[in-house]
Amino acid sequence: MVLHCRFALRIQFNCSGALLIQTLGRLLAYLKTEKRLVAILLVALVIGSLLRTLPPTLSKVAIDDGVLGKNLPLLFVVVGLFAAAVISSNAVMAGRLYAARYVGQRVIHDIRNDLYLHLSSKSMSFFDRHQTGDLMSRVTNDVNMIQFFFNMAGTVILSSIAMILFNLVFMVALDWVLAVSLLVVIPFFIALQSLARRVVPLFRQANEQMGVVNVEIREGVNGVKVIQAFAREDHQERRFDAQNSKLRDLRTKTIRNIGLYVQGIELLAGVATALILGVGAWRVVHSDFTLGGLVAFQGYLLLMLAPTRFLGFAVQISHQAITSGERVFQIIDTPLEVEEVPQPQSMGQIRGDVEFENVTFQYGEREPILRDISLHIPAGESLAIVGRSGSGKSTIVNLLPRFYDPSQGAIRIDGHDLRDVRLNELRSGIGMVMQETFLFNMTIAENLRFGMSTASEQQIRHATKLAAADDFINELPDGYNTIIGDRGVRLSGGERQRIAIARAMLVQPAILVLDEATSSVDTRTDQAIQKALEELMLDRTTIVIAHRLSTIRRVDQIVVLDEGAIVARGTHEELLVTSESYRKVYELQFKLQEDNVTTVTEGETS
Amino acid sequence: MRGATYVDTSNLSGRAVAGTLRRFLRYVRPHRRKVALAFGALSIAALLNLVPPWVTKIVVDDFITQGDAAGALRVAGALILVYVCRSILNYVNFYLFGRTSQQIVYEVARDMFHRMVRHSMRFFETQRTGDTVSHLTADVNAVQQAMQGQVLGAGVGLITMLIYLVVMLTLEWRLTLIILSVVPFMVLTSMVTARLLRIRYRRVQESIANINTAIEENVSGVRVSRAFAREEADTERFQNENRENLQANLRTTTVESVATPLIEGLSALSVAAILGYGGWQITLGEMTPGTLIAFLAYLQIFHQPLTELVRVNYVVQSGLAAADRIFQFMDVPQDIVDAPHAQDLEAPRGEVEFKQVSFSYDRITPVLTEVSFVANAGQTVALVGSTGSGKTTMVSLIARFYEPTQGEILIDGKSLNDLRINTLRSSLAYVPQETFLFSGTIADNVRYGNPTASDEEVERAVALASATEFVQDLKDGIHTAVGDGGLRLSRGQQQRIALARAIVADPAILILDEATSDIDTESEYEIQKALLNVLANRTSFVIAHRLSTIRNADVILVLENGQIVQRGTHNELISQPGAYHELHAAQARI
Repeated sequence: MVLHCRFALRIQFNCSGALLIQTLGRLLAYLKTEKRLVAILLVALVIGSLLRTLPPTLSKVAIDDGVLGKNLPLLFVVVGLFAAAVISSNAVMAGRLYAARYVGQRVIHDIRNDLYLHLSSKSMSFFDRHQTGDLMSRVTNDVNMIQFFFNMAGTVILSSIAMILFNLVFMVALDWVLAVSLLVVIPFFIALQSLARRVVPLFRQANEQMGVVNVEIREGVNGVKVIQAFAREDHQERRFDAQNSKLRDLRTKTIRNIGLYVQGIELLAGVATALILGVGAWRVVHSDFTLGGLVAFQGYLLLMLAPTRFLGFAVQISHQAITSGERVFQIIDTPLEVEEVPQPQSMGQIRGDVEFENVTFQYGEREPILRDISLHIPAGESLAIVGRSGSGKSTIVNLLPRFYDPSQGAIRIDGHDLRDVRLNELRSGIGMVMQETFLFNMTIAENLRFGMSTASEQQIRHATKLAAADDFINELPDGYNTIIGDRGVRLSGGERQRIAIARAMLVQPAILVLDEATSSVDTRTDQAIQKALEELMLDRTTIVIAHRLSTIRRVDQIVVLDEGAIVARGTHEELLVTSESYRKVYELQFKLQEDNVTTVTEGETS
Repeated sequence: MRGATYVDTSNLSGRAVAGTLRRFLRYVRPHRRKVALAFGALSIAALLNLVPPWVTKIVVDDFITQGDAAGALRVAGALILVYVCRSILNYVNFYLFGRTSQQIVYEVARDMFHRMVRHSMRFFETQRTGDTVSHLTADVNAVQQAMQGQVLGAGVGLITMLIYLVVMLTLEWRLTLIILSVVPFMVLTSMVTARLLRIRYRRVQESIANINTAIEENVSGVRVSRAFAREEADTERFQNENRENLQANLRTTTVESVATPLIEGLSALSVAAILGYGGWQITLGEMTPGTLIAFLAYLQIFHQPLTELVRVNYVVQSGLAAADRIFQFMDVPQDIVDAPHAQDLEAPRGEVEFKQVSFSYDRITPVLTEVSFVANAGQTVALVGSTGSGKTTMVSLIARFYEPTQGEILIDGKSLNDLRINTLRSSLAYVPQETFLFSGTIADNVRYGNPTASDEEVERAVALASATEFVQDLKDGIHTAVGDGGLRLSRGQQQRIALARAIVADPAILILDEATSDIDTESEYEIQKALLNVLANRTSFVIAHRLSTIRNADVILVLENGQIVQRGTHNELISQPGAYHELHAAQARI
């Protein structure tokens, strides 16, 4: 039921009841930290609204008793009061606006922090399940929607409601016959609300469409080489035009609806004004209603106009905000899969003795990815994992920094079960160079310092020299201060990889995990990196997903993985003799490299 | 609704404004009748605003004092008609102008995009792509907002204010003076506010951008961030940004929460003044009650455009600055265009010849120096050399992404300069180093190379690129959405799709620039086997670091510092001392 309701929420707002109120309650719970300010805000709201409803009544007294009653002193006193009411109501308004915005910003600040903290404590499987785009849209668009709501709630929505209520009371008190005659417009007013209901979703759609257009522009820029290489400029233009015209049409539709709604309200206001004038004049002539009363009545109508105009939107904004709140809370509510125990053990100085004991891993109820893996790497030794792609190599190394927890079995480092230790210490002790190099949108130096923010310039240079990255970095326009990524210089795959290696080298981890990327570094550079990696491997525990023949010849032990299970282990020479499956993997993966060697050693005979 | 784009409006000179405006008016001209109609409707509606207070005066002074209630009702009924007309006219203006301005914004964005996709590589090198993108989107937005922000209303507001002024002065000049007396203060407040807010809003925008970047990196860089145990440091960085944003927002709040009540208060105070002065005059018999009541209404309509004016002025300025940048962008000349006499490249065989080709990106540092070679139709040419030796540049020249600084390139004996770029590029497929996939399905991306390819052809290309296995594992197979907003593929997977895209194009000339570099050895082996077929009947240029990839090439060109230092087959080159031999030896040692 709840799930169904959530789904319904995302599409339409016809989902009644509990969840809406529950989500609203959670949103409002963020107000708790600013209880006093919220209380002050509410008081200011009441006082301010009352003060704002005074002037029309004061003008009634001024006209009826001061002007028509020819009582000049009274007139000036009332005018003085009028000015005082104006000044004080606006002063209160200034305070109220500030308090409201402050509270609103504060709430958003807190929601953002909560969201971020939850995001950064989620396990890797959470990120596997959710698309970056979707997460980003929750964190940006939905939070913005909530921010908009809180800003409006304190400043406009609540005060609109208060103003409408107070004004109605004063109008009825002033002349109930006139007030009742205004009821004529109410049905029309209600009919107009259906227009308002259409507008806010249209706004949202138009904003989303703008996102789509922006993606088109981004792709036009980033993909320009492909576009031109395939001579598909026309196609790309048509694609852009289609989205661009969709945006235009959505916005035009929005404009039409807004126009109808606003002018409809405007017309109703006009009708009300005319009613007050006509019926009011009638009342003045035929009863004890006064001219001042008429003026006051018009004043009240004027005060009510803006809040009424806004009311239809206010309901929609609130709905949208609750929907967004729901989406944000979904992230916060996802249970943590990898969590530190309440009193984690300290690992002390990590030596790097790694043990997998009967480790099985699977996502949910699916086929296991790893089956009953047991292995032991004494501190300082090295292990190579080989196997076809999809055999589970990456999963093994992903379990080590506890990106995931095993479904069964245990992993120990220096005898500590990973589930009992401080995550921070564990991860600081492991250096990973992954196949997919991710660098951040900041300077090269900042990227290098990512693992060790205290690294000195010498240390950085040492690391980049070892990773054969110093040369190309120095050739960049701003050297180590060159910004890389989307907003800066683009690096080639090989360059990125070298930076990633240097980044790992700086940390001097006890355990090193290398997904030996096969990639695009030219041969000479590759050789240099190899040497650096060898040095790096020297006195620390190393786990390598091996792609190079030279590596598997050098490591202390090799495990062969097939469909998630270890099918053979030993050294290269041993395995060539003892294991059929190793020979197969070897044929596929390493034979080519062997051939290269053969050709060289045999010279021109190949 | 919120989150307006704040664009730098500084350094836009008067002449630039005039030029930009003139240029912009070119977009308006085709719609001038609609705009004129909207303008007319709005002007009449504004004048109709004058009627209700005047009617009120008549009702109060003539009908009520005469005790003619029926007459008052009649006049009030007529007033409803006025309101109906006003609403219709306002709607006509709002909708007509809104629709037209959306159309104009659409056209500006369209022209800009069309220009952009045809710019040469040189253009994109001089601009940082991220900057280009954000400028284009933000600028179009700013223009949009300027158009939508009731520019017309503000313009008409100014004119109608003058008319109101005349009417009010004829009615009662002393009360008019009272209304006017607060105007300078209101304008001053608005101007100061606008100036204060401009800087503060920019800070808000910047801090929001920082926050989003921090989150995005936390999400997409999550593995690295976790691996280096950086959660705490990152969280701290985020919290700082978030606090910064809170403070930036509060700084705007301070200004706004003072400005709004101040302007409203000033206007309301003049109501008090009118009431006091007018009331006093009435007791003296110098003024009628109706005039006083009419003025209370006039005050509202007179002050209203003023409060809007400053905001609109700001939005218009931002829009102009943005339009100026857009036009500048459109005006960058295209440096690679078809020659007037250019011919189609028909039934290309794929013979490629470089004649003494030299090239330099900045016209100072040479990248290629007098490169000459001939690739016969159907041959496979491998380019070998260390990073920066000019391999990628060479193949970029074949696609005419750049033009040689000296020398000439010929395809099937025709100079590239004499060929129509479109037909040249249609006959070659280029797989660049940096793979780029469009948002869309895998099939869409593969079909990018050949829009008419059938599903079977797509599947075959996917198979040749050794991508079938992973594509089949995906929920929707080749119809899985990838790229922006879709599934994130690994680099190796992306490369395979790019390869399939080139294969399906079935080009006469195929260029592979490290097209398999991110693919694991095992799959690369598969791809190589498959590629043998693909490379068979077409001219191919292959850049690769792994010598195993290039051993079967018909010709290997070894580049060093932009020059061909060795050429020959693998067997020829391996037997002679030189760069190739060294490279080979080095690779074997790994």
